[in-house]
Amino acid sequence: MQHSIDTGNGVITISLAEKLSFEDHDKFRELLTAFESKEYKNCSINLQQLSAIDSAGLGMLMIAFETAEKNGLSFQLLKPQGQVKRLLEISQFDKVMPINY
Amino acid sequence: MVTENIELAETERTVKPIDASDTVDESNHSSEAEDLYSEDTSRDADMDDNEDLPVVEFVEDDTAPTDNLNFTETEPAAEPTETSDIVGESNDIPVAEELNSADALRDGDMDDNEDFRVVEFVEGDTFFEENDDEKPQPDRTYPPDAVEFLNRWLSLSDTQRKAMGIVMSEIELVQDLMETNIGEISEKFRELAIHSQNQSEQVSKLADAAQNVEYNGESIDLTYVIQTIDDHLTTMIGKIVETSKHGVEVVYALDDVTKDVQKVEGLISQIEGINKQTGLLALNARIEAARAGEAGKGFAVVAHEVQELARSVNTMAHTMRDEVGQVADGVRLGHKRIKEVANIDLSENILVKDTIQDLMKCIVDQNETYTQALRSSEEASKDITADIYGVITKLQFQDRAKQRLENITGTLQVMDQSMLTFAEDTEQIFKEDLEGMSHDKEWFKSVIQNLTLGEMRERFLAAVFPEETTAESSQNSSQTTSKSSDDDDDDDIELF
Repeated sequence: MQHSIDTGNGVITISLAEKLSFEDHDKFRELLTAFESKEYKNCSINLQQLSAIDSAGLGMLMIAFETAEKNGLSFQLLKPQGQVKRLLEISQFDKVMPINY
Repeated sequence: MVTENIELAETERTVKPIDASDTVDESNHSSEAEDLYSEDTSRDADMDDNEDLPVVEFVEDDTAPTDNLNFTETEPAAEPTETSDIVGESNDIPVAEELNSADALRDGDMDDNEDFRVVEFVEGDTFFEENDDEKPQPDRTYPPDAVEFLNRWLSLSDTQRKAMGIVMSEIELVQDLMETNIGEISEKFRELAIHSQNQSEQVSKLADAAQNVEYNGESIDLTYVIQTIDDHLTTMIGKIVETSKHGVEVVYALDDVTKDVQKVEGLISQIEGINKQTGLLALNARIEAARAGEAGKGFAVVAHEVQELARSVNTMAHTMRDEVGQVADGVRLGHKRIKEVANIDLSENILVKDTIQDLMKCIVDQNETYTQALRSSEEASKDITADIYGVITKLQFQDRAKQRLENITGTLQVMDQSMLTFAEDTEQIFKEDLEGMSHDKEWFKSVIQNLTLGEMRERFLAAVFPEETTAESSQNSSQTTSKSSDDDDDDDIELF
C-alpha cells in the first residue's frame, strides 16, 4: 500500500494506492492517529488509486470510520474503482458510511 | 294418322317416327324388321360410338326427299364425309335407323343412354298417343316392327323399374354408410377435442408450476427463493466484513498488549536495579555499624533487616519477570494466530455473490423461456381444440345430404310409379299384339357393363335377372377384387 495525506481547512484526505491488505495494518493504524488530532473536523479516504482490497482491508476501512466517529469527525470514502467498488457494493458499505463515487 | 304425326313433328322438332310409319309398306315388312334388329343390336354392342347416328340421319335425307316431312330443321351436325360408305351399303333404310335418327336430331349431346331415349320418345310421343286414338278399333293390325319396338320399350321399362329399385336401395345404403361413419368420425373428433383440452390444461398447470419451487411441503415463488438467497448472502458478507474488522481490532489490541508487556518487563528491570542498590546500601550500613562498635549494634540489626527485604524484593522481581515473560509469550502467540486468521482473504467469497446472482438470473431467464414455451403450447392446444370443434360442426353436412338423398328417392319413386302406370296401360291396350314376345335383356346388360363396382353390378343383376345371378356373380367375382357381401366395408372405395 502506498499513501499520501492532504490537509487544509480542517479537512484531512488520505489517498491510498495499490492494494490494501492485512499486511498494511500497522501502517494504516498510524494513519488513523491523525484522526485523533483536534484540528480536523472532516476526514476522507480517497480510493481512486486503490486497485485491490482484501477482507481485512474492508475491516480496516470500517475501523477508520469508527475511529473518525469516535473522535467526532465526519467521514467519507471517495471514488472507489473496479474490484474495490464492487466489494463495497456487495458488502453494502453505503448503508454504513457515505461513499462518493 | 299422317296429319297427326306431322303436327307432332312441328311441336317436337323433327319427328322420324312419322317417316317410319310412312315408309313401312307391305312389301318389305319382314326384311326391314330384321334389319332393324340386327342394326340395333350391333349399336348396342358399341355404346360409345355415336357416329353412326348422324350418318343415318344424312342417309335419310338422301333417300326420302319426297316425304311430306318437314326436314328443314335437320341438324347441321351431320358429317357428309363419313356418310358415304353407309349410304352405299343401305339404300333401303330400316325403320329402326330412322327411329334412332330422330334421337340423333333431338339430342345434341349423345351419351350412353341414347338408345333408351330413342325408344322412350317413340313410345311416349307417337305410338302411345296414336294407340289411344286406335282404341275403338282393336282389330287393327299394327306393323310388326312397331310392335316389336313397343315390346322392347316395355321390357326396358321393366328393367328400368328394377334398376330404379336398386338405385333407391343403393341410396339407402349410402345413407346408412354416411350416417354410421360420420357419426363415428364425429365421436372420434369429439374424443380428440377432449384430449386436446386436457393437454391444454396440463400444460397450463405446468406453466404455473414452473414459477414455483417445492420446499418443506410448501410451494414457494422462484423470485422469493432468489430474494431469500440474496438476503442470506448479504448477511453472510456483512459478517465477513465484521469478522475482518474484529480481527484487525484484536491484532491492534494485542499489539498494544505486547507493548505494555514490554513496558512491564522494563519496569521489573528498574525494580531489580533499585533493589540491587538497596542491597548494597544495607551492606554498607552493616559495615558502618560494625565499625561503630557497641553503639552501632542496633543499627546493624536494621541494616540486616533492610538487606533481607532487598533480597525478598529481588526474589519477587524475578518471579514477576518470569510471569510477565509467560504472559508476553502467550500474547505473542495469540498475536501471531490472529494475524493468520485476519490474513485470510475473504474478498473472493464476497464476490461469489456476483456469481450466484448471475447463476440465479440464468435460472430465472431459462424458467421464463420454458414458461413462455408452455404458454404458447397451451395456446396451440386451445386452437386445436377449437379447430376440432369446427370440424365436428362441419361434419353435420350429413343431415343436408340425407335430405337430398331422400328427395332423390322420392323422385325416383314417382318416376317408378309413372312408368308402372304407363307399362300397365300399354300392356293392356296391346295385349294381343304383344302375345308371346320376350323381354329384351341386352340393354340392361350393356348398362351394367359400365358399373365399376363389381359388388354393385352383382346386386343389379340379381335384382333384374334373378335366374342368371349365380353364373354372373361367379364370373364377376373372379374378374373383380370386390368383396361381394360386405356392404359396410371401407375397402369398397379402393375399387374405384
